[in-house]
Amino acid sequence: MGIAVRVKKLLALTLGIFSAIGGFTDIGDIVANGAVGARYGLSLTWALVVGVIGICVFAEMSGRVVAVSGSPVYGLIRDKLGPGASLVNLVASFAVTLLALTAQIGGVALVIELASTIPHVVWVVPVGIGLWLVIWRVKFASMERALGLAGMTIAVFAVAVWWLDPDWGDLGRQAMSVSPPVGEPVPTYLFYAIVLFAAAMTPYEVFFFSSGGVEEGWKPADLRTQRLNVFLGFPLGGLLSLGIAATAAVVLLPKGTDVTTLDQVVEPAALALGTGGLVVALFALFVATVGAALECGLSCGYTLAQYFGWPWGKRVAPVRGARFHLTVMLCLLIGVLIVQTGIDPVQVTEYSLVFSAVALPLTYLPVLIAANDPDYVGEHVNGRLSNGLGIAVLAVIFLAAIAAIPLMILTRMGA
Amino acid sequence: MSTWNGKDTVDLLTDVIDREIVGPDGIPVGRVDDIELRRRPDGTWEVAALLTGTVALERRLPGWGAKLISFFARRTGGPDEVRSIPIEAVTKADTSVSITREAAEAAASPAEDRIQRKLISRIPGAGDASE
Amino acid sequence: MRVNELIGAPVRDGDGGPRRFVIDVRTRVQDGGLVVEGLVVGRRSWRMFGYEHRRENGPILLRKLIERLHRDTRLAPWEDLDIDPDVPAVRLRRNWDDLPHLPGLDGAH
Repeated sequence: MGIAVRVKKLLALTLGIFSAIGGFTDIGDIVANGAVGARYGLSLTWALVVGVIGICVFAEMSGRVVAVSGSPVYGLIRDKLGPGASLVNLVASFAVTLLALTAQIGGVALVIELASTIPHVVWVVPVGIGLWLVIWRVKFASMERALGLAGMTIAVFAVAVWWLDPDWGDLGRQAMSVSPPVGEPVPTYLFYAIVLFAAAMTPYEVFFFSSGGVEEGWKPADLRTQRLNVFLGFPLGGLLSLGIAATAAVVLLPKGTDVTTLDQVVEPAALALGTGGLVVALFALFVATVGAALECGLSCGYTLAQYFGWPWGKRVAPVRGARFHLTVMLCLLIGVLIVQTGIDPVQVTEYSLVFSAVALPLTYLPVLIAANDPDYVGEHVNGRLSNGLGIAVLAVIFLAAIAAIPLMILTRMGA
Repeated sequence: MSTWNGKDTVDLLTDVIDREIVGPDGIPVGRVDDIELRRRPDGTWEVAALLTGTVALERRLPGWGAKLISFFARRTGGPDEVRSIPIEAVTKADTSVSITREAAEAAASPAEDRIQRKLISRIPGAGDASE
Repeated sequence: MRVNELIGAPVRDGDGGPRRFVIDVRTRVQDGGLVVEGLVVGRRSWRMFGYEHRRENGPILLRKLIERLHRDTRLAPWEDLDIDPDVPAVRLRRNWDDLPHLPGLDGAH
């Protein structure tokens, strides 16, 4: 096998990484991981692990459905649940994805502000236009590969942890623990556990991953590729976000700092690796937020188009996917307008995550059913392991959905 | 004929309704929102046509859902008449229903056409697929 | 007649027994077309999710749940039905208990 073929095979794995980055390291996750690390150290690692397992199980199912039947997730949601229940899901998922898009647009602007010291409100409109241009003109594969590869720079946070030479034993003990550090109330700890879990399993990750599979033209022969995408991409995303939490755990937890802003999140990396580290960290955050913004923007279009049966995707010319492109444009516009009003984009994601926890059951139950349906997956129906894990994760999803809003009220958004 | 994925028994709601309708190029035309039945000369009934359009969907939506969708449909010049695809135009049906080119053209959404003409085609580069 | 008019329509049997609802329209493939065989009728208008076609579908927990929800779901042959499309109302000329269970959802292996 020549080098070119090997490289091409490696590049085929970037869809999973791209989807994972948008899911695990968007602006909301970045700040949440920083905040969690500064407050709880690594003692919420278990929630992240459960989330990674959950998204791997369901992303694999949705990827298998796409490879065999060409049907992305929203299509099978409408088929399995019917137009009424899936409309409820559509309204909830669309709202969450639109809010997340808004937050990402704000996030990109914030990262540029950190790098340039020019206030972020100036950058919002250019960012919106830039995102739209990418969706209008840049090939799906190019976008996915460039951002997927560039997104690996988030590993700079993990490098910073190693450089800081922390007490590994202590970090390890934190990571194994399932209870909060002394003095931290349990309800708030559980609230953040749900936030991390919901962040790991946000619906737009699978909407994007499965629609991306259609854009890439996956066929049954690509079943192995899709599986590799899932099992490499999503755990990697989880590790990257853990890296962010770890730097906060090592530097900010001892100080007792409360993380609320983006510059606090990059502070540990700058401390460890100097200006070079800061530059890489800012670049990494830029890539992560742009990737997440594209993922959210496209997902807004994907979900609506797939529910109604419109032609959709970057693989059709805009003249053939008119309603799809109109939807994406309008969503970008709404996002830009909301950020211009001065709302804190990070607060926006915190809310959207809680509500997405409620939308999760209606999203993932149909995926589990379809992965067992020979109409959708031919002979590749779920084995016992996939079904067992699927049911277990669904049980966690239902628990999280029930507990999310009460805990949010009880702990006043984790104050 | 293995048009129906090798099945002998087809349950209309579970197996046909709410599935995607695609043309020969694989591009979606719409979803099966309803089905028209007709009486045969021998007294039995059969499927006459697949129907697509948000108006056909309304019966199966909760009240607020139908209102929400028709609100947005009106914003884009609709709601449009339901389009009908005769059963004879179905070439294959598994997780999506494939139809002939003629049927796909006849069932194309007027809303798609309106938005394409009034808005999208005016933006440079609209004719090129970015993939 | 439109299928959406039938789905969810109330069904009464000869005895005027408890109300049931139309869950689905069962058809038979014939010469590439679909001929209506009968109506799938059950207590509530719950979907079957495709479990009625194959017994091997998993996951086991879900399958058991769907079978339990549909334990009284029956197939009413077209000849035994009187349909008034305007209301819509469906009358069964037989009794519930005479109707065959839906194979695939009857829980018997």
